[in-house]
Amino acid sequence: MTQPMLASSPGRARRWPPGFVSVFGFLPLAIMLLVALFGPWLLTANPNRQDLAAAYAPPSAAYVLGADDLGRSIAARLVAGARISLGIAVVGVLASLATGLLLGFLSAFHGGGVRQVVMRLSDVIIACPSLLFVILVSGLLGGGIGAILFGLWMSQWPGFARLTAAIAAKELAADHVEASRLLGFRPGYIFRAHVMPAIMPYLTSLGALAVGANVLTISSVGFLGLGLRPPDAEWGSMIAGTMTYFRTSPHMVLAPAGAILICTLSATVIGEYYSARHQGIEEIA
Amino acid sequence: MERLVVDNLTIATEGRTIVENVTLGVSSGEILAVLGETGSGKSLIASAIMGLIPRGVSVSGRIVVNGRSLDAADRDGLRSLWSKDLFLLPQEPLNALAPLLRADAQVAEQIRGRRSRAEACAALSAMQLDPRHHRKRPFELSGGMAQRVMAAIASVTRAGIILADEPTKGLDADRRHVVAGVFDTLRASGRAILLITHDIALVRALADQVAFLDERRIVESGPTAGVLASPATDYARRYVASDPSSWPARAYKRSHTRKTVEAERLRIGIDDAVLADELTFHCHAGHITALLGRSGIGKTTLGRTLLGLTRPLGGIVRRPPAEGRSALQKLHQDPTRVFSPWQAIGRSIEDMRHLAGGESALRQMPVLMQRFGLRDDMLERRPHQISGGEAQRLALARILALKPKMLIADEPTSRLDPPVQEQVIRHLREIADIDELAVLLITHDLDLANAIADRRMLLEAEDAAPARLRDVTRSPQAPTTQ
Repeated sequence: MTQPMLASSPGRARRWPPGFVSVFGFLPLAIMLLVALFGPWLLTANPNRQDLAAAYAPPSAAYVLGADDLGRSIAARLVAGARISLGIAVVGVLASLATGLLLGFLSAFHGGGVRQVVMRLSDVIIACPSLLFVILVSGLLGGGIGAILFGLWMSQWPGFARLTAAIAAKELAADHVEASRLLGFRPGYIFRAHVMPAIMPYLTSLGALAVGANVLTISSVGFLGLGLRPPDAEWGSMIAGTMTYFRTSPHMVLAPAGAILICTLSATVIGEYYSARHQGIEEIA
Repeated sequence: MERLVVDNLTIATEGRTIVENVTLGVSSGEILAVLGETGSGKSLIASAIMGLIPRGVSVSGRIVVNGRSLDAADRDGLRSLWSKDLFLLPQEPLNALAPLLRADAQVAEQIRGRRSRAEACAALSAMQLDPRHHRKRPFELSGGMAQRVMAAIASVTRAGIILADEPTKGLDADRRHVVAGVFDTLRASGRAILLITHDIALVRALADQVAFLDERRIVESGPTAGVLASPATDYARRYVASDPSSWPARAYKRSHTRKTVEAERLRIGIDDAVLADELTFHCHAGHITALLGRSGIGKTTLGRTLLGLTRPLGGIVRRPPAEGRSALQKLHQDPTRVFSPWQAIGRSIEDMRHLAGGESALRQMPVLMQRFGLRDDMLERRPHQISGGEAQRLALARILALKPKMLIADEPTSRLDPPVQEQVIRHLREIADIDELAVLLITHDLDLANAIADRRMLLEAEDAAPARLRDVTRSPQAPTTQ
């Protein structure tokens, strides 16, 4: 310890080769999101139409990714599932992010009672794993999109709230906020110009990671049969329904599993990318 | 014989030379101070001697350590001399100590043999660290104590050459005193010390030799007393003249201007802990009132209480009426931190239009910027991209545009280089004289207070009792702030 340390060791942040984040992060997730948004227009096949003659069909010209045990087009079901899995995941994150940002900022700004209530509530919720929460809520409310969404939102906003509260408290105590307050700037301005820019990179990073985690949670719930009711297509339930045929027709399982993998992987790459960029921000601040 | 010789050291990045042909020599039992402004490249000289210049930055020249001559680019060779011949005292000692080791254990690590613990304590005592602090961990130590622990570590190593990089940066006068004591002890043990600093008071008190570094070159060097008494170059002359101890004391005059802020039997503190009590004073328009006192006594809290940022625990503060914003404004210690770090400074300035009276304040800005010698292109930069002096003048301009009645300046120059410090102080005097603002200057620097303040107040306390305020305007030799 008596040896002096280099004042700063640049390049400590993880460095990926140029283009890596675009190719493995933004591009796949963007394609998935576009498919989810415009899927119904892209696709002519009905995801629930059964063609028993085509059951177990391997990928072919008629069925791009093959057909499942009931002869439904796997490609069509994947696209339909993307709307549900990715849609719920993204909406869930946006809702928790907005809630967390609001409650976190309020508890940092007011401190005292508000902070105590928000933080203790967060403690209780954070103590419970997200998946358990969603299963619990789905069980109580009887499944469906609304129940999953509610469960994800409830289990996730505390994370965003705590992160926001911690960073906002630090920023609000900084000289630049004190100076702005003395000059007469209003809380709204201080939030926008002094606090938001400090929080956003962290929230983006956490948000991206949360999208990946949500896709997994939604699929897990679907796999356990607690999510959407059949015949609605959902990635997790697609795996659950076709798992028994894995040896003979692996494409039926691999297609939805691949979709889940691509979503979580790209979301994680994006999250890691933003979290690596924080270190640069920290040095400026 | 010279223990450390730096011969023709040149440090350059692609397209820019940072240090050019620097030659220095330090003998045993001698302190050589390298004095220069921020950005003059002085810290890099120490880094080069330690072999700490990052690869990719080119280094040339020779470094002779105890008669062994090494190429300055031989980083591994130089690093192998760490704690055998070379020791670097870092800028922020608290960050350099192992966070979980007790003070005596940190020192004992460097001592071989069974009696290492006892020797460690002896070394700590030699650095004037009280035995009751020997078993403490770094987070229980103050910055001054950590500095003594670092020095004790240096004193038990075999390293005969000690490099110190800005040991007083951001310190109060009382800690500066500790630093001087520490270096005195190290020098008495026969070590050669290279002191890198911008602090001319420390150099005056401590150094045997001094070298002025201006824009990558040594412009003047020699025995401290001689060089400081009659500097030969412009740069050194300007540097020496910017030291407040060489300025004439300000004469006492009765005040006829109106009172801006009045405090009556004010009791201040944080939460419920009382820091100071029975504070009764007032500040006049056009006057600079210096608030002196040792660190931690409550100077900043008094300032915050006047500003209304901290609730008073008792007594009354009378302020001029606020019109949309406080009539009292604050000049911070670290000026680069008063603008939002997330946007260009110009953006922050333009945002003043959201304020009451902001439009007319904005129209004032160009005039004020010109008055403080600020160029327009600074507005395009982020706060960390401008120098401390520029930031402090920009902060002043922004505050003045909003026409406050009083300015509370909390150590506004302690992080600035002396020549820049002088400039900011001159502007402060101008603000009091021309704009007729009342200024409360919170400082630990008695020389500075004597030179520019119309009134001087000392906050002092006996032991654990709350501090009291004493007017020391007419006793220039008032007890120092230590």
